[in-house]
Amino acid sequence: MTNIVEIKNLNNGDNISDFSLNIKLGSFSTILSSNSIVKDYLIDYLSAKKVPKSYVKICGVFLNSKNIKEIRKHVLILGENPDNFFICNTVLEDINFFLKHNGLSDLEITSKINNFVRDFDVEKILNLSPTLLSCGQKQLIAIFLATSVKTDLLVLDNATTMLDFNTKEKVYDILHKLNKNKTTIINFTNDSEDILKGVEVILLKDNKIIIQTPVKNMLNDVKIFTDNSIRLPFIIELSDKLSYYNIINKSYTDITKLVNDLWK
Amino acid sequence: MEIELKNISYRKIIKKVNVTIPTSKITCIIGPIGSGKTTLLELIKGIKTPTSGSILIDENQKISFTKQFPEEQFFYKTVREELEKNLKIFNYNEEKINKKIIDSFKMVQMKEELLSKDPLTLKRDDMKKLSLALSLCINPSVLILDEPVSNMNYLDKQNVIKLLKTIKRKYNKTIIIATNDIEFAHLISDYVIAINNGQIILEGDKYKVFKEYDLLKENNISIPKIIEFESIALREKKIKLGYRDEINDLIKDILRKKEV
Repeated sequence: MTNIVEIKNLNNGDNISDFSLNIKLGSFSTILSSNSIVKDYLIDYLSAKKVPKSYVKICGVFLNSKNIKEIRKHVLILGENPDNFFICNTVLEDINFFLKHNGLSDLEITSKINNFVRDFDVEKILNLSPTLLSCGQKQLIAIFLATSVKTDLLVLDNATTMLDFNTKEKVYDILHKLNKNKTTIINFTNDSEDILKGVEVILLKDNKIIIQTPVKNMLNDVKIFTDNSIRLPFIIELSDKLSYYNIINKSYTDITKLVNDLWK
Repeated sequence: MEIELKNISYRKIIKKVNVTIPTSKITCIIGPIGSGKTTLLELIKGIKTPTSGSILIDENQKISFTKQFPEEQFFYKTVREELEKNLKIFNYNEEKINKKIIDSFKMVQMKEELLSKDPLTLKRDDMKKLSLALSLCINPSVLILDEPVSNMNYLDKQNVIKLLKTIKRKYNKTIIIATNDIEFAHLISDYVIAINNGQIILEGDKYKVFKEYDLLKENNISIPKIIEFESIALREKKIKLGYRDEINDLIKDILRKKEV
């Protein structure tokens, strides 16, 4: 299996025709999908909510009515609104409940929670009722839960929108670690700065793939992104414009490095 | 009239906050997760009552409140009914209600064919826009928006920025926004209030606030990328670029400094 997601010639008889998509096993893909209906279809198929007529293979399993449960074992989806992760009286109970039912031992759970508390400084919210949490805190807990469980494919559907800057950085560190341990990650987002966090970027528009390229080659295709009214990450945009004036001759991903090279 | 918060506390979330929100300006409240942004907005609107302190506000002011997750404020079967419900308080005739509905729809650039749809079946971006339209249709003097652009794409964000700026300029509305999206806050705000742990760390004109690179970083608040660049240039290389909004202005500044 080289591709974890394989979609061939998807049609819905209306506005999607001959849509094909391949996502490699072990990749970290960012999908920019501005108002694209095909995104909703993708989410439905990835979570095995709908069964398509065309060829869809997820984690090496064909998506049909028999295999729905099989696919759901491999995939974890995290949406923007994390409310459905919370059912117990306190956050700690919720964490224990979720992790226990996903097959973690008590020892593992305690060590996971300890690491989580150490990294994110969340001790004071663990004993609160989930209803008292802010949306950002709920999102953080949901991400912690989703990343603590072993899964082959993790799909984030705008799951980090409410996080602040530092927390987001730490969350992406965790995601990178997971990615190294062979979890494929698909990140649907509208925030262009998130592109830099991934390895590959896919741009969907009008239910077609406009471009699918590694992030490090993005600078070559700047025009394709701007033509489709996608805002580039700040540092890429700046690199692009400075190289137009021949001030620099390569692309940067770090502000401090760029400043250091500009004024030596 | 201004909105004045005097020594406001709410449980352990907001701690002795004193702040005056300027009239006819766009104020952004920024801060890390769980810092009390939403609670502050809810206190101003009156959804929550402060445990101590007082809020001074003109009785006749209409205040609208837009929630973070739009689906929480939808109750009816169609989009039109949602809007009608909000307009009921005015005793308008049918024609005028219709006009108001279509006007508010045009303002947020939604298609009229969506009027007959179930609000819960709309796409997320459209839900966000609808909740904005719900606020606008009652013509409030103070608009309170909680994360109005989270999850929106770049074009829609630009539209919201344009729309809110027009509303402010044309109709002199006071707009209060809580947001995590620092680039959005930078583009839209006149006045910025930075909070952490329920206390105000910094407030003032947006350049005054965003210039405080170290203090904001310490408090877990990010800085607009463009200002971060300028701050790093100043700190590392002692090069003063001036604080710019636009990337093209920044390029000009860099070119100028390179020539010297």
